[in-house]
Amino acid sequence: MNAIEIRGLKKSFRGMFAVDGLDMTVPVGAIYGFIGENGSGKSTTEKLICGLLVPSGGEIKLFGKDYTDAGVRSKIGALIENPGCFPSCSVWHNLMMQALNLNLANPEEEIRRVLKIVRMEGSANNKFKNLSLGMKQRIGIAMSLLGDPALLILDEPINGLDADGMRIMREILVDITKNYSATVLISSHILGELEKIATHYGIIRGGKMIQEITAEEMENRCRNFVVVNCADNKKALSLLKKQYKKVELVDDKIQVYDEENPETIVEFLYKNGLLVNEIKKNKIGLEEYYLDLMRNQSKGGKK
Amino acid sequence: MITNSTKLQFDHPSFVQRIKSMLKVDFYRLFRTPLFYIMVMVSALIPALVLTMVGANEAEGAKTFTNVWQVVESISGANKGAGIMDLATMCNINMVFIFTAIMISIFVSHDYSSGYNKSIFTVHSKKVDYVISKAIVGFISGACMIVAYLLGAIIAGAICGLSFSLGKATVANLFACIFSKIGLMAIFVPLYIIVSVFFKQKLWLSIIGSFVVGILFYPVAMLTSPLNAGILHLLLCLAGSAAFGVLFGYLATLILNKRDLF
Repeated sequence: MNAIEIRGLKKSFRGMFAVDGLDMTVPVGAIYGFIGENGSGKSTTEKLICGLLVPSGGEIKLFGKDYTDAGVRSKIGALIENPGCFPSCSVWHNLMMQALNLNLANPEEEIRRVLKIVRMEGSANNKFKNLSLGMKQRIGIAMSLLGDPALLILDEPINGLDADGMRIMREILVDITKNYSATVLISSHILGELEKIATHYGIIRGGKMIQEITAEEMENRCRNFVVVNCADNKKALSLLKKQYKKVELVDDKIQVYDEENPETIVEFLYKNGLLVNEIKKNKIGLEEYYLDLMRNQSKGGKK
Repeated sequence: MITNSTKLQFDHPSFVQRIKSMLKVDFYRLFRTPLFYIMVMVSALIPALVLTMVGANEAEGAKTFTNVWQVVESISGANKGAGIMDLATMCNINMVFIFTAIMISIFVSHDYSSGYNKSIFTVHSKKVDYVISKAIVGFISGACMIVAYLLGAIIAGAICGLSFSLGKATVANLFACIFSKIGLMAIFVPLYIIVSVFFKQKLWLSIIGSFVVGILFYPVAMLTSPLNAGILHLLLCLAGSAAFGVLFGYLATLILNKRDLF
């Protein structure tokens, strides 16, 4: 069973499609990293899943049921854009309202639990408007965790968090997926952070899903490469292109792909009369993979 | 990763459970924010203000109010120049319907401006839950404001030395009048909810819109529930309120279902 299954989802605003025939599959228990440029349709998709926007077409299924099913929806925790809290109310009152909204049996106990998770126990009586951006974000996360949601939808949750906040966030997400069988859909521009926790990725562009991939597949596709800098990079580039399948000049430095041994390259260039000024081993991470994919998409090519 | 054999169980909350949880939230918020208390306080103070203003505009020797109940509502047909709306005929308990407009607008608009609606509508897929809950909370708040106005009028009238004689009306008429007005809240509140969900977080447009709608429906409150209202007035108000309340509530739900939250 899939936690989220979307087919042909469309959403237009004044004739412009923000989401245009999107297909998406999020398996139960996954941490699904939802990646895309600004305005690619990530937040709109998340809002559609949460029922905050009315779709222009397509189908959304949550845990095999229609997304309007009251039972499924009552088990969704969400943090979309910013925490939905009343600024003049205290943190406790805001959380209490959400606990009542979820009809929780022990609201006080549950609030203490989530505040402990995000390490905000001391701020329960503070007014929400008096909290810092990072603290507000933590409260938003705490709010989304109330009632052990089966599906957690987080839109840019890392924004505004400090290093400690990011670490806590990682721990929470891994914990709830492992111990509570929850599924997480998370969008973020901080791909390095996402890479540490995601089990699946979905890459969206222009309202369309351009690629869905598991973390394992991503790992396999992320190739090793060596960065070389010579006195005469032009000559080195033409020489290396004859020797290796993929060689690129990026930011005035040469990138040689699928070569794990830098010494081989140094030796090859030396034999051809070129001295290497700088050489380092590297690996394509999520960020490079994503940027490469975006570049190829812009060119109209397919990876 | 959870295997495909894993079965997740979802409780299906009944209609009553859904409404109960929404009501809990709305009442929790209502009684923990100053808005409700301010509006009740204003309703209680308005009779004193009416007495002061009308008294200040009276010609020498003329008495606009001769008893306490005139501050509350007029007896139907008692005012021969009913076409002329003076301060005394306009400024009475029916003003509470306008205060309710302001209260509902602020209450609903804050749901949008704070973003709290995101939490509500993520959990509550049925938008009717929201409308019913807001209607009940608005109805009870309106009822409290009517009672506050009545008590304020009694106290202010007593301080001004006005008579407590009901004249042509009886105590039963007074109760029928008050309960009819409380019943009429079921028409006004869903109307204000329609305007508020239409304007979403635009508070001032919502207040102005609700105010205009309130003024348009103001004569309904004046004509259907006079001070000498009888059982027929009461039944008419309750039946009409129920019917129009459901209709306006349905329209508010329709707007919520058809429109985006943002």
